[in-house]
Amino acid sequence: MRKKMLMMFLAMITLMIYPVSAFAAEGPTTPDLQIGLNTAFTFLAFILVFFMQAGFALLEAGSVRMKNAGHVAGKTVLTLAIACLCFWAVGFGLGFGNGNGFIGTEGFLYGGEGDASFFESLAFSDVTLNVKFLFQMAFAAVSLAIVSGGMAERAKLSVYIIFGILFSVIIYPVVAHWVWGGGWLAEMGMQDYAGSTVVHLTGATAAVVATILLKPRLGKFNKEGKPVIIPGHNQVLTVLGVIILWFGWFGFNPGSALSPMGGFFGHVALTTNLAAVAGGLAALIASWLYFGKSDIPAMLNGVLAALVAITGACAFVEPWAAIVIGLVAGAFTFMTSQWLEKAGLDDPIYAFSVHGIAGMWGAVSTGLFATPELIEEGALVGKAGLFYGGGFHQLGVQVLGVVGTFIFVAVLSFVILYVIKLVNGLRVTEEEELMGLDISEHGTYGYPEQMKLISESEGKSLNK
Amino acid sequence: MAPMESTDRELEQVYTSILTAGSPQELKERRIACQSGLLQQLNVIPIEEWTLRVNKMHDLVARQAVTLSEAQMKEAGYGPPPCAYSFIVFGSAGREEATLWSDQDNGLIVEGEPDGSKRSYFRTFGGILSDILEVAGYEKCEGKVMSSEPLWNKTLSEWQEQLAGWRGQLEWEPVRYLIIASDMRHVAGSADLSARWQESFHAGYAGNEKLAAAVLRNTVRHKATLNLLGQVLTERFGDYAGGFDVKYGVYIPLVNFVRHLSLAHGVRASSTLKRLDQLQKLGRYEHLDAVRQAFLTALRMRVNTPYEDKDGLLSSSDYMGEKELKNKQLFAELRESLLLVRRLHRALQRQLRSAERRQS
Repeated sequence: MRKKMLMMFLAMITLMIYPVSAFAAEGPTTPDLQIGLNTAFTFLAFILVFFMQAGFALLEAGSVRMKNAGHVAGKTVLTLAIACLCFWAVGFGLGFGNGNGFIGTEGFLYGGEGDASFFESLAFSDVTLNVKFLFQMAFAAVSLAIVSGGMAERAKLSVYIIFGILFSVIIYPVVAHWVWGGGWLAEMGMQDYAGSTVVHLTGATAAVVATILLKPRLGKFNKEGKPVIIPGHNQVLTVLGVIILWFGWFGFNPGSALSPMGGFFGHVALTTNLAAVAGGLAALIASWLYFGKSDIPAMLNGVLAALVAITGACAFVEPWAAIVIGLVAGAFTFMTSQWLEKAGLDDPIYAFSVHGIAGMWGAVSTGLFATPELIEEGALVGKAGLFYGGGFHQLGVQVLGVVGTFIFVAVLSFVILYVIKLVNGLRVTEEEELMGLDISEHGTYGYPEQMKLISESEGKSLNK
Repeated sequence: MAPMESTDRELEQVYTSILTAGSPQELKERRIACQSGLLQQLNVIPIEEWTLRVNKMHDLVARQAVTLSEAQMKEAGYGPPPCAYSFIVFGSAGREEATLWSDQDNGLIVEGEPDGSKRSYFRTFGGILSDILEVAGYEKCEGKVMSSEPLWNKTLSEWQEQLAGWRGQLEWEPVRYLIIASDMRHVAGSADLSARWQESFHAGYAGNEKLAAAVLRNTVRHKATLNLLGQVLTERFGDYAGGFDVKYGVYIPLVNFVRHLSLAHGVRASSTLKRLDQLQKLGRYEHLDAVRQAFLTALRMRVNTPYEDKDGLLSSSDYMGEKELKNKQLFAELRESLLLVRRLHRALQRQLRSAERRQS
C-alpha cells in the first residue's frame, strides 16, 4: 500500500516537472509574448466591435415598425458583407496603405502578413497585420451600419447596396486615411482616438444626406407639417441593442490602444463608461423637461450620443471631463433631434443627431479637455486642449477636421446618391412603403403571423 | 341685437316643438333643427349661457323620449307604469355640460320595493328609452351607464343598497361608479324620488374621510400638459398628433377638482359652475374665480373642437386641432388654465398624501 502511494507521488512529481523543463529549454522571448498578448488583446477588441452589429440590428429593428423589421435587421448582415469585402479589396489599402496626404495607394487586395511593408501607418504597433486588418474592418462596418439607419423604412435595398459599396470604397477609407493613415489631418495632429469623426461623423453625414434626399416617411408629418412620432414596434429590442452597443464599445475605445501593456486601456474604458451613463441621464432629464414625461428612446439615444462623443476623446480627457462630455452630448443630442425633426428631417433612428452632432461635439471636446499628461501617457497625438493651457491650437485643428470631414462626406454622398436617384430612384413606391419593406423587398415578413393579423384587421376596417 | 333676439324666439319655438314630437324619428329631426339654431349662437353668446341652452335641449329631448317610451310600452301591452319613477342623467349631462355630440349617460329610479311586475316593466322600459335616445342622436354609452343596464336601473331601496355597497369597498371600480353617481341630476318623472336618492347619496358621503380619500385617489390621474419650460404639450403620435387633449388635459381635471371640494362640503349642485357658486358662498377658498375662468375656457374649447356633420348629427373628438391652437388668444387662455390646473393638481396630490398618512 505504502509502496503504491510512493509510486503515485513520484509519477505526479515527474508530470509536474515536465512542462517546467520544456519551458526552460525553448520558451518564447519577452517580445514574442508581448506580440502575442497585444494581438490577442486586439483580437478580443475586434470581436467586441464586430458584435456591435448585433446591437445595431436590434436597435434599428426595434425602432422601426413591424412591417419593416425583418428588412432592417437583415440589412445589418448585408452591411457586414459589403463593408468587409470592400475593405479587403480596396478600403484597407486606400485607408492605411502608404500614399499621399489624401489617400493610400498601396496594399490593395490585402494578402496577409506579407503585405506589412505597404502599411507603415500601422507599424507603430506590433500586433499582427491580420488582426489589425480585422479590427479596422470592423470599424468600417460600424460606419456603414450608421448609414443604414438613416435610410430605414423607405429606401430601396438596391440603393443601399450600391451606396454601401461606394461608401466603403471611396468615402470611409479616405477619411480614415486623413486621420489615422498618415493623411493631412494626421500630420496636423488631429485627435480622434477611436473615431468620433472617422467612424461616426462620416457614417452620420452620409446618413443625413440620404435622409434629406429620401424625404420623410409617409405619415411622418401631418397636414400642418408638424412631426408625428412613428413609434418603433419593440422598445425592448431597442434597449437590448443599446446595451450590446455599449458593451461593444469597450472593444471600440479601449481596444484602440491595440495593447494591454501598461494598462492605459483601463483609463479609456473608465472615461467611456462615465460618459455613457452621464449621457443617458442627461437625455432622460432633458426629455422630462421638454415632454413633461421621461422618454425612454431619448435616454437610449443619450447613451449612444455620449458614447459617440467620448469615442474620440476617451484617451485624452480626465474622468470628470468625460462626464461633462457625456452630459452635454446627451442633452444636446436630444435637443437637436427635436429641432431637426421640427425642421422637417425624418431620421428614423436619429442617426444624424446621435452619431453626427455628437461626433462633432466629441471631436471638438478634445480641443477643450485634452490633458498633456494623458497625451504623453497613452493618447500620443496632438497637443493639450484649451482648458489645459494649450490655447486655441488643438481646438482649431479639431474644428478643421470636423468641417473638412463633413464637407467631403456630404458632397461625395450627395453626388453619389443624386446620380442613383436620377438613374434608379432612391425610394420604394408609396404602395410598397405602406405594405412594408419586408414584403416589398424580400417577399416575406419578419413577423409573418402578426402581420397577417394586422393586414386582416385592416382589410376588415376598410370594408366597413 | 335684433337678429339675435329673433333667433332666440325661433329657438323657443323649436324647444316647444321637441315636446310635440310623435315618434323617435321626429324627435331626432326636431333635435337637429334645434341644434342648428344653437350652432348659430355658438361663440356669439357667452359660453355658460350657450351650454345651458344646449342642455335645456337635451333635457327636453330626454323628457319627450320618456313620454314616447311610455306610449310604446302601452302599445306593446305593458300598460301604464306600475308606480312612480324618475329618469336621471349622469356624466356631462348630469353636470349640465353636455356638448352637441355627447353620448348618453342615464338611469332610472323606481319607487318602493322591487317586485316582479316592476322589474318586468322597467327592464323593458329602460331598453326602449335607451333605443329611442339612440335614434335621437345620443350614442350608447361605452361604459354602459344607461337605463337599459340593470346596474343603473333600480328601485330606490335597491339603489340605496348599491350606493352603500360602493361606499363600502374602497376599490377603483366602485369608487368610479360613485363618482359617476355624484353628478346625478333629475330630468323627468318624480322629482321627489330623485331628491330622496340624492339625500341618501350625500348622507353616506358626509364625514367619511376614507371615502373622500378614495375618490381623490381616483381623480388625481395626471396627464402632462405643460413641460417645465411652460410650453403646452400636444399629442405626439396617433390620429390626433399635434392636437391638444381638451377633455383630459384641462376639462376633466377642473371638473374633478370642483367636484372634490363640493362633495367635501356637501354641496348638492351637479353642474360645475353652480358648484362653484355655492363654494364661493362658503368663502373658504380664494382662487375660485380663477378656477371659474379656467373652466369657462375649458368649456369653450370643448365645444369648439372640429366636428363632423353626418346627416345632421354631429361627432367630434376631444382634441383641439393644430389650426385652432394657432389662435393666439385662445392659446394664451389655454396656457393660463393649464398653469392653474397644474397648481390644483399638486394641491390635490398633497391633500391625498396627507389623507393617506392620517389613515395609515
